Amino acid sequence: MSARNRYFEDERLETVDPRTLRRLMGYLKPYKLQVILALFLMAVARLADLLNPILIMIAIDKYIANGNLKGLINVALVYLLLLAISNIAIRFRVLVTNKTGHNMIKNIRKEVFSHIQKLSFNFFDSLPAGKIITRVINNVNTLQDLLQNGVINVVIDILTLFIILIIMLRIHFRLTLVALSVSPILITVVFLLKNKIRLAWRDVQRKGSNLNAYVHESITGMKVTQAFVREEKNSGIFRELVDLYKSTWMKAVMLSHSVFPTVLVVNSISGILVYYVGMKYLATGLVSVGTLIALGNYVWRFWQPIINLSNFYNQIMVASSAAERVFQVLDTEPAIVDKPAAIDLPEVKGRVDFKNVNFSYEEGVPILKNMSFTVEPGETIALVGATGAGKSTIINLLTRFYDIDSGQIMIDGIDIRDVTIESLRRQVGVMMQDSFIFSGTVLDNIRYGKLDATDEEIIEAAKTIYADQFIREMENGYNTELNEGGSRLSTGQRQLISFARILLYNPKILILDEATSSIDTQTEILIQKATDVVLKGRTSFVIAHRLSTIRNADRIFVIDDGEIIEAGNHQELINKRGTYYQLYQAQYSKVV
Amino acid sequence: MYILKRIWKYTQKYKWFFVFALIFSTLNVVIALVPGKITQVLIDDVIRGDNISLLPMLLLGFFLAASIRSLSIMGERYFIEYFSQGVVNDLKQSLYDHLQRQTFNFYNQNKTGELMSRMTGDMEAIRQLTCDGILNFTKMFFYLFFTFIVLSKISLKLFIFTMLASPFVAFFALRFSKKIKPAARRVREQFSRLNSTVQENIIGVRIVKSFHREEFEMEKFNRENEEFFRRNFASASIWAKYFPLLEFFSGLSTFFLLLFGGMMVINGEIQLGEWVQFNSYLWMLLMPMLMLGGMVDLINRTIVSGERIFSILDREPEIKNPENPVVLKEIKGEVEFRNVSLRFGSEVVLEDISLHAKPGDTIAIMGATGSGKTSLINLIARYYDPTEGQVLIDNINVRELDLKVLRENVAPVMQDVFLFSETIRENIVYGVDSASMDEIREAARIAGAQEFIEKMEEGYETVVGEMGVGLSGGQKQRVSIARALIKKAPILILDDATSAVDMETEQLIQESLEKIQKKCTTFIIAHRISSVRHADEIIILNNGRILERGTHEELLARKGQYYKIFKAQYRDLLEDNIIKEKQVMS
Repeated sequence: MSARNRYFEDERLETVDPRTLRRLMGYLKPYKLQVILALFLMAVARLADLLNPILIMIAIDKYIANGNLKGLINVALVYLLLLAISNIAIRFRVLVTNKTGHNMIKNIRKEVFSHIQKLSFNFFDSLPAGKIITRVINNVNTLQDLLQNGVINVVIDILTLFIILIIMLRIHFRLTLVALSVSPILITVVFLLKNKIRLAWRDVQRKGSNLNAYVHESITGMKVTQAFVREEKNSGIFRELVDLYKSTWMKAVMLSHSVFPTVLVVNSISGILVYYVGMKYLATGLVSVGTLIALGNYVWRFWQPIINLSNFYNQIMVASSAAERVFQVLDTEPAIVDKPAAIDLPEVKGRVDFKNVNFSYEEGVPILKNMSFTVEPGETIALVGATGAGKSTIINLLTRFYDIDSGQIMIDGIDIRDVTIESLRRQVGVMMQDSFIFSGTVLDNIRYGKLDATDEEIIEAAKTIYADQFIREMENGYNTELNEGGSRLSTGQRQLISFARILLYNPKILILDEATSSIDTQTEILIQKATDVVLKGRTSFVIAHRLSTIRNADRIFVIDDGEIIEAGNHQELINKRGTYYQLYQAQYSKVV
Repeated sequence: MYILKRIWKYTQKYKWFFVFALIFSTLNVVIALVPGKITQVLIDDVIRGDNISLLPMLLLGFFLAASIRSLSIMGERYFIEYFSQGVVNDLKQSLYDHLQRQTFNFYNQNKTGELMSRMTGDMEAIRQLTCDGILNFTKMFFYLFFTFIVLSKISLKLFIFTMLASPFVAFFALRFSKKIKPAARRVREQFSRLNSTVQENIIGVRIVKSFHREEFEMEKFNRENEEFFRRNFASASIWAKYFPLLEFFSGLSTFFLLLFGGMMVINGEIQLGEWVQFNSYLWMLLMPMLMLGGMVDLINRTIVSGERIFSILDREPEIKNPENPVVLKEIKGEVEFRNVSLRFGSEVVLEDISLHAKPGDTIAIMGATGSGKTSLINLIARYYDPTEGQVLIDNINVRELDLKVLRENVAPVMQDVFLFSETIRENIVYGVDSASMDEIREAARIAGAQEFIEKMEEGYETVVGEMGVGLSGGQKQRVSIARALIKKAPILILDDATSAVDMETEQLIQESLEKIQKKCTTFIIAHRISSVRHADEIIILNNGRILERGTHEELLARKGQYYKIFKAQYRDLLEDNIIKEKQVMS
């Protein structure tokens, strides 16, 4: 079973793997040109910006100090020009990186989603729906930050550091060394801090999602809470969670806000050193006022890229665990694929053979044991037996949702592993016990069985299985919007809709898993009639719970512990006075 | 403004934190001005005035300023965060507690997602306002105020020149936040659409696969994915337009300062150091302009969020505890409905229902979907109050009983089962203060849940619910029956409690329940004849009215609706020869 957690338990996260990162960077490759363009634009913008302090230095030393008005105006105009260039470059850089970044993410998400469509049931059994959704949406989004801005920014930040360093060294070599002598302190402190900060925020995130999960559950379960008079206790739990959140929040926020003060103090030390040493040079005329100011300016600009780089490190940490999850999905091979030489299953007549079929979901826990039977075209088979006896497994195997361990399953004498999955599933239809409703109109939901069906066809199908009346009674009839899961419909109504869906799909072989839930009597009668309609004229397997269905079946297979222990029609089995007879007696004898 | 005032009330408890935050904030702003001033003195007096003796003091000043400012930044942050966390947590707690007092009706009308967003998104807006919002708002004025005082003393003219570009900055900042807001909303909307497309695909994967609709699903996904891309890019384009504009106009201030300031230095109107000081304060003048847009947006957002939160807090629970509740030593379990009607607006749910259950009686209720079965039993423990008529327990109107006592004496198994993400054991003991393991096992046994629970690896300690192991519908129902049974309440309500359980198990549960039902008054809602036939009275509801009532035999003899249901369910059986034989034999 996969990871599960309660409101007071945190979810675990993994660590960094360089291979994951390399693979992630591979996604940048198709966008080489755009990346280079973005880099270029950003370099232009940054360079234009970095020249400012020099301009001011020139203005002070050459023109203001000497009273050269014309020179001053020229410098000011150059400044204006650089400002314009820088911002035009920024504008295009934002466009290019965003387009590339969003495109890249769109494609990764598409890749993941398409891949998931190919995966077999064992994947969906192994991972809860919520986690799969998180991988397609959230984890992929996390990658965006890194791919879109992170990589480009890191190059630019490193570049910036170099440019600043070169400019400073050219302005004044020794003073630069003096000014930057404190940078190792800053780098160490900031990197240490950043790691703590990342962990602290992660803690906040977890506590926050625990809190939200608790509130969510409180709201959905409120009726139970009130009926069982648990309000006070829950209020106390909520208070604890909120307090815990607050203390983790305070810790993270204080850590985060200690970076800037650190920079301030370190910067002031650097400033002190520059002026202290600079004063001596000033006296000897080796340095000017403008130089000192410019150096101070550059030193200040030197810290930001360093902080950015420490952020980048954090970004990688987060992105790489997200990437790992995404890749894990992409690396999952679909368990069931077409054989290289698979053919299309020809139009099915409906004969089904199971020959010595063995199957288990988990190794060592056999579900079907050496099962063999033959079903003739057009026959209706009712499968009867306790939960877990293996009834639903027969469905899963006939449609190749899972592959068998040994033996053979044949349709019209053709092994189902030799045909394409698509052609198989096009002709073998399944109606599940829980009738899934998609968000969309009633029409859309029925049309899922046949995408090109006209409205008339759909209405016709609904009429045939007795769903027309209740659909028309809804406020917008066939165009009534249903929500996902179809919660506004009763169980019986959902079943009727999925009957119409399967009728349009028109499979040659039908597998029907009857719902166990009790339904009010009127709907129940409709469903009985609808069942008769859909079963007519095709080979069908019914996991039957309804007495009428069982009795109308051509043959009944009584399944126990993965084996067929009795077979025959209702009358035969009753006469046999075996397991079926006992089941029947137990369930119905009490009534009369 | 009214909303802001109400939020303000919540801040009273923490006002000293706010006061301290303001003190540190003022200190922060004032000290931020110091390095600029020191530089000015350095340039004008030390360097150009050759007064070298001032140097050590000034450099010490640099360091002190940075240190004090660092401390005040930390102090300001600590107090303002503490302030806002306190305020928001109090608000959250009162919202949570208030939600717990709301009735079933409220939860039928409000979607969980909507209520959740009050607790998350709306609270976040208030957090931002009470934290950075309020802090930046005051800082904006402080910066403008203090820099104005200092700089206008040096040169009012240059101050005005420098501020020339500010109106543009403010203008574009405002426009930007106005434009980006709807774009960001569109991104969020599409994000949730994309999300639900994926969600639906994954949850419905069995249907997708069995209809072989993978390609159709991919097309659907691609459409939403493309649209998400488009909207993201549209939002980025707004960034791309305004960000450079803002930068440019901010830069323009430097240009003016460079040009005019430089000229003034040349003309001797100001000192070089003063000009540098101007330069170093420039960001303090620009920041308020840049923040303006975000600030206006934040205030608007907070007002909307505040409205949404207070609209819930202002909603009085429809069902409240009586002021002087009648105290009963023990509830025996007599239940009576006297001419009870229930209406939601103009919709009639129940009309003139009267019934009487003596302690230990079993009353069964049948009827089509929407006939009012669940509404009827919901009146017993006051999940709803009737519009007309009275519900009495032990001859006392339930409205006069203490709500807590009343509900403790009614054990319901609800139609839509809900289990919490806790262990099975914790779910079973949800409504009782304590229960021994034996009691838990016994309740599970009667509910037919013992076997499957004990088969699980972790047994009663298995975590279930949304975040735990998925139980089947029938299994969930059985756990929730156990949860009701362990209360040992004199009144038991089974609302379609075994609908998802297979018939065999249902039979077993029924048998063991019948043994306890003797001890408590029981209300059963069911569709199957087999579940109701032993009841002392069977009531058939139709559109909120009682259509038929009586015992199984009486109703069969009447050949009315009950008889019809009976025939529909046992049509086959009635024709069955074996049964006929059996009847002959017996």
